[in-house]
Amino acid sequence: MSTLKVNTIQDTTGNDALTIDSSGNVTASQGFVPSTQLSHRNLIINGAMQVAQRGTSFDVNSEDKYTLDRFTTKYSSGTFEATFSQETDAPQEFKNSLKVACDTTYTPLTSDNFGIETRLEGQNLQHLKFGTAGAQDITLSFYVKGTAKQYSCAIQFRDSSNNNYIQTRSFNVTTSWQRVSLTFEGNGAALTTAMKENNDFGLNIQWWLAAGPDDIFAADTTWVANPAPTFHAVTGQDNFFDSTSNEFYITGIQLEVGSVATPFEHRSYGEELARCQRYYNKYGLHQQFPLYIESSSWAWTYVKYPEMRTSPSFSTSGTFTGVSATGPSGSFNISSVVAGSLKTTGGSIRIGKGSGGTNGYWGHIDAWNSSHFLFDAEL
Amino acid sequence: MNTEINITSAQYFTNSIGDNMVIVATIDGVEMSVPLEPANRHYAEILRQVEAGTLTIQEAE
Repeated sequence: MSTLKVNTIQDTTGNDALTIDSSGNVTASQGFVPSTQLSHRNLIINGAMQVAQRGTSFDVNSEDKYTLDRFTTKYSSGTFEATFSQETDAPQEFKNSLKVACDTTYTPLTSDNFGIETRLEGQNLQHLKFGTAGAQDITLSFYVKGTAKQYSCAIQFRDSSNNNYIQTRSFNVTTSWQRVSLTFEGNGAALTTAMKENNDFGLNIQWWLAAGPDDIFAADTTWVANPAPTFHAVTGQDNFFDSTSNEFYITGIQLEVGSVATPFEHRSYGEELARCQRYYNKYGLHQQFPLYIESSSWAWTYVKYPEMRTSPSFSTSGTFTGVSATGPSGSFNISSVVAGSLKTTGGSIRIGKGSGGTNGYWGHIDAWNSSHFLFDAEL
Repeated sequence: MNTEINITSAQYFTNSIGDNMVIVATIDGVEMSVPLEPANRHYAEILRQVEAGTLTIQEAE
């Protein structure tokens, strides 16, 4: 180790390139060219657990279920009952975390698995250069705390033929917040196999909180094709479900190109929400929501939303049926709400109606003021 | 083993000229309108369960 004490570094012609003030602040006078991008480094959406369009608490019973935006439970088999929630317990630079609490004890058998997963579109990851000799290392970092345990993290990428390739690592949790950094080298199959390049999932990340004995192996440090069994945890994996006192908190998740975890890239709530709405949109309605009366049985309304990943599934929350719509041609009762033709940027909603109202007129409904249309285009 | 999304009913819904527009399905206990779009995860799962013989899509009324 040696130390260089200077306050200026010049180029070969005597121009200042770097100056360092007495507080250690460095100024690049001639421009600065980083080897990795300065912004948009973090490939994870909602890594700070800010956005919770579906709610802030989720009762999970042996199922795949989206919780906070972009984060789903990952379940294969077994009996895993837990509560997921958005919390304000977080490291100092964060506002929120995702908490998992064990509701019922269970010992995983054979290939039983349970964990947390987030899924990324392949078209957004082509700069990882998988399938070339220049396949990039990627680094996953996150903050965790909870009951002291060892768990596993797996990254899985998928090619255009839907073959899966994984690497795995273990990580430790303690009762205080700490940052975990895991680097996955661009080796093995990543050198020869390109990642799927469309709006389907190209890569997902799994945090395994429980795994059956058939799924526990030494860490996979080279990308392995089509592992059998499909999911791998790492030797030493503990069981989150061995006590109803167990807790697990996670936030500040960042996936970036390179072998070093850089500081977490914070984004505003609005920016993060907009990214989440490509996959799920809780579309708030308002007073006097308009309807067009097409027939004695049907009325229509139309919606427009930011472009989603694919044509979304549609459902509703709040009061929709059994209420009255009114207009210049009289009132009528709403009996059903079903999607018509929904595309990635909007479409039509078909409203079942009772008698009343005249074809060709517009009506409006007030009772939907606190209700929502729900559009789901998740991976 | 991967778990299935729990789909307990599925029925085509047609437009005014009789073309199938969506499948109205009960998914994890929630009624959803699912577009006939292969990239939609619910539609893909419906097709998978139909192929596996565990789900039948009812014709529109």
